[in-house]
Amino acid sequence: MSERKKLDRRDFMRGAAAVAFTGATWAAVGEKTETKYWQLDPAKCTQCGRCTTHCVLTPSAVKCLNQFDICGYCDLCFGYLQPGSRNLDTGAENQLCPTAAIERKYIEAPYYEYKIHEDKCIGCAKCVKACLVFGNGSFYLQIRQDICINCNECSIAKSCPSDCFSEVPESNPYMFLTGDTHLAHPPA
Amino acid sequence: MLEKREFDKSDFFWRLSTTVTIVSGLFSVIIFILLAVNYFQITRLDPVNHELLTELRQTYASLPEKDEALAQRIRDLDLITRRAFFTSQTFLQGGAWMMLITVSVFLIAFKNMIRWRPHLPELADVPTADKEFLAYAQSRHLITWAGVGLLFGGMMTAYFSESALTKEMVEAATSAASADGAAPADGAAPADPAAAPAGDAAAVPAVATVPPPTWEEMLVNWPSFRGPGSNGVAHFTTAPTTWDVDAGTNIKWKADLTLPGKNSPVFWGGKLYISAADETTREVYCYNADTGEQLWKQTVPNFPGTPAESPKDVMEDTGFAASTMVAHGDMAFAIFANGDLVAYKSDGTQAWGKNLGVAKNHYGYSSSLLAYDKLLYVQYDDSEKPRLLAFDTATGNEAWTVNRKKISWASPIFAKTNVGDHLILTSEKDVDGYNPLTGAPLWTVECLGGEVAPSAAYANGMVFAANEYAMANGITLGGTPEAVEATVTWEFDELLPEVSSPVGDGERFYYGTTVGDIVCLDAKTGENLWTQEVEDGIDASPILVGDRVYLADKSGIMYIFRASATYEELGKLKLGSASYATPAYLDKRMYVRTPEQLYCIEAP
Repeated sequence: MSERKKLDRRDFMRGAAAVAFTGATWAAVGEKTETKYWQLDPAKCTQCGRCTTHCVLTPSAVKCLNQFDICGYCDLCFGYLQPGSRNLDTGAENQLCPTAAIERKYIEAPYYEYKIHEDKCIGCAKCVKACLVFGNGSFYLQIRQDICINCNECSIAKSCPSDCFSEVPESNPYMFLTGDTHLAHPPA
Repeated sequence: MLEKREFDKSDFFWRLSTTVTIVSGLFSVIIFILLAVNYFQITRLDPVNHELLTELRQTYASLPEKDEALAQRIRDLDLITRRAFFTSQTFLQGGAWMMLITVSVFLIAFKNMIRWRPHLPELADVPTADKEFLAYAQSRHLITWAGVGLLFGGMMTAYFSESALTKEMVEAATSAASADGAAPADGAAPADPAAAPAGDAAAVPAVATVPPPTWEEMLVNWPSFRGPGSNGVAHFTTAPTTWDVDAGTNIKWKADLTLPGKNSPVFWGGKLYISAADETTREVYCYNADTGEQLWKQTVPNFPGTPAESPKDVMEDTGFAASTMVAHGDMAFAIFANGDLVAYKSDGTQAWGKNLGVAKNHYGYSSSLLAYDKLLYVQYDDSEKPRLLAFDTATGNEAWTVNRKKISWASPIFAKTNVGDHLILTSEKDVDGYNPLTGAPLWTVECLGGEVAPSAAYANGMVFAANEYAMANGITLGGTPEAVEATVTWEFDELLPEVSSPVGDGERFYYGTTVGDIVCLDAKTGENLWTQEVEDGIDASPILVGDRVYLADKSGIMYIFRASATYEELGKLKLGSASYATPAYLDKRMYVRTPEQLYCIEAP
């Protein structure tokens, strides 16, 4: 009975190189399948607040965006200010955002720009809901793909009450709001 | 340079790796503890939704004049809460990296510690006899531990299992005792309620000696939300068509309400029941339906599991007593947002009560109760474990549970369909039919979406279910009672209900929308026969009373119109206040609940 040849280091390296070469060739010439990414459809979103609490990341990978071509640059911005705010200024007693993630910047009377600082945004959608009810509806939520770890089964999608999460192609990973998009109003 | 052999034996490397293992292990444990403490602290405090801050902001907004001191206090607290939140986030992220590094170091050091561990010279082979002895000893140990494991497993199984046999034996024994006259006979005075501890369902007699109400009895009462079977159809056709609340015309009686509650009145045997609750108090009331006299009022006690604090997710629009009660023969049942489910006898004595656990529900629990035969149905819309529960009405014992896929804010309906009796429920995705006695799923249709509050309606072989952000669906029931076929026959996607539940008269379906339209669809085709714009949005549900439909808008105007293919207004009358609840319709009478009052309108 012949003795089985023991695999030495040189043979192992040769084998590994062959496997790597084959894999690289297959990846280069093989059929490409486009990666899918989770995204939420702002037209279906009902601002339930689960994006904050159900994402596996903390803070959530869902962030608020402001679509400036829809924004009214209002002095009395309902997405920025508490309901019934006494003063239209940046005092903490007047701000709606719990993390002060929205920056109010004077442009010219009576216009103000509202910029979202995504590092502070937790995706609670309070501003989205308020802007939608009383304003132009320019605030909306999106999953930031540079933050999202693209879970196989998105934790927020599983609990989303309005089924607004779906997988989108790598070539078009965002669902930006357009002027004629009808956003879902919050339930009465 | 060390030779390989010497390297392997190095005591220095063994000591070094051991030290690194211990230090990195300790670090890992400390970091883990700190991370866990930080996580639980931040979860408990929830700085971004700090209650005090919210209250202060509301107070500040409500003051007649600016209060600089209060504004400064809000700013200071806001800074503290945000700092706490972001510090916590930074700590979590930094801590996670440190944890990863220390655990990696620990694993590497541990592996090397094993590798460089000094080895003592091996002993010569143990004599055969000793090896056998050791094997025997090992076997004895294994047998002993396997026995302990089996015993423990058996005890746990016995503890967590409900013995159907035992229950049946108790029932049989109690029935036999009743028949022998050993126990109180039917009609005997009720047991002293003080004798049974509050909330202890097990302390209640195990058998209902009174036969459950029949469907015919249910029809001549108003047992639940939207009437018998919660289907929106009144048995009596004599409801009043004229009244004036302010002038008192046709108003038989009025009773003032203090505690809030959005549930609708229910009626059985001359008694009217409603519930009310706020964050701290839950109450059930019983009125004489003829005179408006309050017969009794019960404050619901705490049951085992009743949370010390009221649930936080409850919205003001929903409230803590949104679910309509059920009156079922001699019993009345109520459920509240904190999960308390309670049963009272018609004389006000508590029959049983329990807490079902607080339902995780982001607007607050709102599903109304329903009862049929011996069972009380609870659509328990807990987002983590949505389920349909059935309880024995007499004892409160759970008869069966059906797990559901999605929640809703709607209520179950009971329908005598062309293919048997069905419980029909809506969810955020489906419309489902169940066997009312066993809970067995009979059919399901995936046709809804969004956050569903409207319940379904059934009439003439058709189920109707609709919701804003989804579709209105006409579902035809066919097949046999054993194999029901449910098919979506038509869809309608224009004006859709968001809160109000529909009603059908066999030829058409009617419903209201939150933007203020009354919509009529053809039951067979889904064609929009007419739409009538009204003065305010509609949350209440339409009720079919003979050939008339009654539907109130939120401003409190009751629209009475003909159930027909064209809109024919028969009346437009004020209820005197905002209206969220659906009135109860009995012979010549309507019982109306507004936020401030409960009153009876009687036709002359």
